Amino acid sequence: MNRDNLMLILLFLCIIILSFINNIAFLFGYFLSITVFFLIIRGRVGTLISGILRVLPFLVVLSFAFYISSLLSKGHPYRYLVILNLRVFDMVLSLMFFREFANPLRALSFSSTLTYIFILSYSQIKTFTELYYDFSLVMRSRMVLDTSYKDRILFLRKMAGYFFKKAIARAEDTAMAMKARGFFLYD
Amino acid sequence: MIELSHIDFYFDKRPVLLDISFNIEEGEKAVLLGPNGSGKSTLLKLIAGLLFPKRGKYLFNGKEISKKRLKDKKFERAFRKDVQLMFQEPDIMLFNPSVYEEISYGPLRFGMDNIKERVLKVADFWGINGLLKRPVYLLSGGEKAKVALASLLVMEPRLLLLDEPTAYLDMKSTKSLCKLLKKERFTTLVAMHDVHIARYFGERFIVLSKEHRIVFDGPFDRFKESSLFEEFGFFKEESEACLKGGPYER
Repeated sequence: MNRDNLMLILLFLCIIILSFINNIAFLFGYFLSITVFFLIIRGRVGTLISGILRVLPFLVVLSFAFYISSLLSKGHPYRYLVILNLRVFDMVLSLMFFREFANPLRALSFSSTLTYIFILSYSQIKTFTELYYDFSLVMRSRMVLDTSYKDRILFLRKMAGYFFKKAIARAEDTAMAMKARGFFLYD
Repeated sequence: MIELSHIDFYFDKRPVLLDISFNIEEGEKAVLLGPNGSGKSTLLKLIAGLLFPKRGKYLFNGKEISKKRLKDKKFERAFRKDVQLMFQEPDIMLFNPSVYEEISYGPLRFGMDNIKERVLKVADFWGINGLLKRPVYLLSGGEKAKVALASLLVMEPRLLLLDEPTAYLDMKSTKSLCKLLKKERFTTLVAMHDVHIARYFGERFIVLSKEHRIVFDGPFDRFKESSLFEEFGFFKEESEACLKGGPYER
């Protein structure tokens, strides 16, 4: 077992513990300690802010939906909302902490199937992040200002179709490349 | 070493390769030339035993390569060790945690000895010693291409298949690759569409047409004189000038 495997076990333990603890002081203390670690010890302000910003829209939508449903059922959602938000932030920060110290590919090295799934997912995410960025630039450069609503929908539909086909082709190619290099030989 | 006879390959019902027949001898350096979409990449994947023809036969060292044959794990192991393919997009063939592990993956998987020495030697050649500890997914396109090439060359394959290997490489690295391929004994088949660079990668040209058929098989000098040369968008006057002052040593 290597250091990355141990870090993965630690991450799972943290997630399990965070899922069961409802103590606001503990959750806040956990949040504070990892924040301090990123800010002071590692000096990674950007990483911390971008991590929090990415999860924020999801939390806002979730909290709002929960708040509305609580009002309708005449409950008091505030304590639960604080716990929910802190818990999600804690989990995200735990994941960032893991990513800071461990190499995810090495952490999953005990299972070739998991490694395979990770590689496929990671390569797809990376490709589509880049593609999405390119598409947004294309949209800006190729769409004239008075483009009709119908044209925009058509463009987006074409883009979605392209993404889907590209995902399949790329997954097939990645699997083929792994096969060529002997990845599946001993499974 | 390779014998292809009357190979047809279709994607769904669309023809990709039609009636492809040629042989490549051990140690030969051949270039596969053709316009975009002519089937070069598919042909390389077929020779690497990753795709199988709908019609025709493909023999590697006298043995037919088929789905059934590659189910024999012992045979597949030997075949995969001997035949190394570089994909057009090097990104998709890199799946290890660090550059060192990426390069040493093949030798470890196939039980080769002196792995560290082999990795350091090939990394030194490509000038990527400083990257050995870095995660592969953080590298630039050119660095990924060098790691992919290093990962294949460290295996000392008998047959090296390269799909547009110069696409991500700078001029200096392209020149190094040319020299290396010329020096090493292994058989090579390099797919390209740029005639001016292609001629430095091999003496023999196999040309695919837009119609997915072989339209030329012979030395560069004969290809240069043929009408196909102009069909590929090159003019003899330009090419003469380019040949005289070409960037690579022959």
